[in-house]
Amino acid sequence: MLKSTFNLGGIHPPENKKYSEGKEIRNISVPEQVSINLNQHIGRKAKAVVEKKQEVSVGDILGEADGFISALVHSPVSGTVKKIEQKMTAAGMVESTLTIDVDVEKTAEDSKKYEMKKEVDIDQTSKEDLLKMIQDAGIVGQGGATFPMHVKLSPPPDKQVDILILNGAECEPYLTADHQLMLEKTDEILLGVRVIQKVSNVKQVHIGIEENKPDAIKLFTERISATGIQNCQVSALKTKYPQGGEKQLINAITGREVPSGKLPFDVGVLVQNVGTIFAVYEAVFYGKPVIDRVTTITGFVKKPGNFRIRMGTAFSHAIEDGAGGFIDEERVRSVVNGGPMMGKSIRQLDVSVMKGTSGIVALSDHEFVFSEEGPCIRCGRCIDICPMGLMPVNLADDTILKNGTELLDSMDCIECGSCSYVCPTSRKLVHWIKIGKGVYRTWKAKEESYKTDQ
Amino acid sequence: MNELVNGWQEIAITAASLAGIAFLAGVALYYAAKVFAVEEDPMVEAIEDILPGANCGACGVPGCFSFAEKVAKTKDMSLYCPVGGQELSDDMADLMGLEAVEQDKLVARVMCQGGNFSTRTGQYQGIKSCSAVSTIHQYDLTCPYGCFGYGDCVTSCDFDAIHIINGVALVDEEKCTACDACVIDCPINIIEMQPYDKTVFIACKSIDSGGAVKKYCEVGCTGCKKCVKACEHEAIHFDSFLATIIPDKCTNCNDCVDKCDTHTIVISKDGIAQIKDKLVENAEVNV
Repeated sequence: MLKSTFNLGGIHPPENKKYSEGKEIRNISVPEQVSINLNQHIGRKAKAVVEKKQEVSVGDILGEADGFISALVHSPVSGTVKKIEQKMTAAGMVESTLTIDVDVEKTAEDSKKYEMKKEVDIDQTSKEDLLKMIQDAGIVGQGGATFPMHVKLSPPPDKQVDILILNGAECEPYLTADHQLMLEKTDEILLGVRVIQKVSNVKQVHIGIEENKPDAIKLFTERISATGIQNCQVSALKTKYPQGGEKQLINAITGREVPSGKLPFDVGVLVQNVGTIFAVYEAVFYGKPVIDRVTTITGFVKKPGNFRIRMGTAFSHAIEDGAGGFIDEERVRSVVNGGPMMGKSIRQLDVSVMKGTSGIVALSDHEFVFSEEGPCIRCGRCIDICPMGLMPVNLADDTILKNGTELLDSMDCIECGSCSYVCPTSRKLVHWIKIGKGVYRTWKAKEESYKTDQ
Repeated sequence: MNELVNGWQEIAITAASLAGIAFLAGVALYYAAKVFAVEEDPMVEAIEDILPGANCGACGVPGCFSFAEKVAKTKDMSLYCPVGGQELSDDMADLMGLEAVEQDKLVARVMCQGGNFSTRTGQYQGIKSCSAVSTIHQYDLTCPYGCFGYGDCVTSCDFDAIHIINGVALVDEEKCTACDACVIDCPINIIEMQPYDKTVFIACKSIDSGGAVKKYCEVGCTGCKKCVKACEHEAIHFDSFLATIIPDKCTNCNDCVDKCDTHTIVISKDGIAQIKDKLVENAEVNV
């Protein structure tokens, strides 16, 4: 089979997937207290609709979508709302957070209503009904960008979407949650694909899987022919980071290039993570909102693996209960929310799991190396490997000089971290470019205000 | 010999013709200057002479010359150069023969004195700059509202009036010219402009509950409301566990300062540093 990949740049960091690869998805016990952030997605944050001391049960709406680009937040547990306060999220921001005291027995009982499979005939159900189900379940992209699903599925009328790409690349080192989900829930994911096929009228479905997951490629190829699903094929991809980036995946599979500042539907493509598709399946066939997700807990922990975690579970509980705690707490240097390339190191372990938490990676003093930022030696490696074809070194320099005019390119940066990874003098290039985006926005706003003044 | 004579003649012709051109050009320029003369207000130059010449832009127009032009044109005495202050306003009014308008002198004040009195979690190892810290929301200070102390304001200050002392920015109020540069550069808006005369202010921005603040900061406002009760002039506004002084009502009576157990209310004339010294002494005694 011809294996494709994106054409610009890319790196091959050590995969380190061996810790949790092939480990069955296990459930993590319900903690005694959960804290639910109201801002778990891109767009306007949800508005709280519950009050202090109110009783809630599994699946109740806690936060209402505020506007179109926003998503519902459901209660993952049964219990009492203890307080609504400003608290730090796993992303490091201080957001309004609901703390719920959990009634463990009632939660187990109430969760049973999501175990009954409903008889749904996709062909008979209307497009609008399916979209409504997805919207009511509060589904957002589970790959990390957390873009509300119903917005992605309703592109502007002048944009025709003809290709759906299922993102099973999982190019981040350490993470194996998507891989395991693909192995265990193959048929369910394919049913989810059929729902999306119906909703967005796509002509062709590609399932993009990197070649370091041969078992998943084989399984999907078999099941597609067995279930007789139409216009669906597996696209095996060469292993390269950041293959799972939306724009890279589109380029690798279709050869199309998303223009600067445009979105995938401008080139007629819809990209969905496999985890998201599985959530769609659950929403349609079980009526289950997003109250849990599959996440990898790996690295410097006793029992690394893939876990089904309820939203709002504290990282500390997840690590203790699921992964058996750290191997040696003294030697832990960093706990990352997400993968090690794009994730953020968290400051304290009481932050909670959100819809976008794709992994919890603990790094020991062996794996986590910190070095001071050195001077640029003009080697140009960051330019060679940039998957977006940017010049990270120039963008960093312009940021330092606060040179707003030169920073338009920074808005195309996908913050994959490849440039910081290859830099021989450990410059924090992605961090500089992130600041550069802010510098560019301020400069742009100033320019526009001058224009309106005149 | 002939060659020599010819030489002298050539020089004479050249000199004469150049002198002629110079004279003609001079006449032309003289008339051009008369015909195309631009009426310039001598006042602009006079005002520019007495301006500080810092070209800082604090007055709202780009540079001192533009400010002088604006003053001369509008004759508006409420235009204010914060660097020159009241003295300059008086001088300008004298120069233009107008009444000076009384202006309040403002100073920048950092509404945080946490720094080393505040606990830290984790270890921030990124770029050492406040804007860098605020873009990724990963910092080591536990208080989500406090001053990071990486000194973006120090680099932005043209007047050497702000420094990082004890891990927190501190303004030298005598040097501060209220140019707003630090206020604009601070990514978390912890620096505020306040009237110089009202020397008492509450150096905290945390709206967390008292218990939470006590856990992470020795000098944060816990919302005990003692200052609100102590103030006879109703000058302390209290909202969501944070007291703030309303400068218009404050009379500098300092009643609230003694009542504050956490030393969050400070008198700027004393210098925050002194109060900090006191705290350090107390801490040493306790140990």
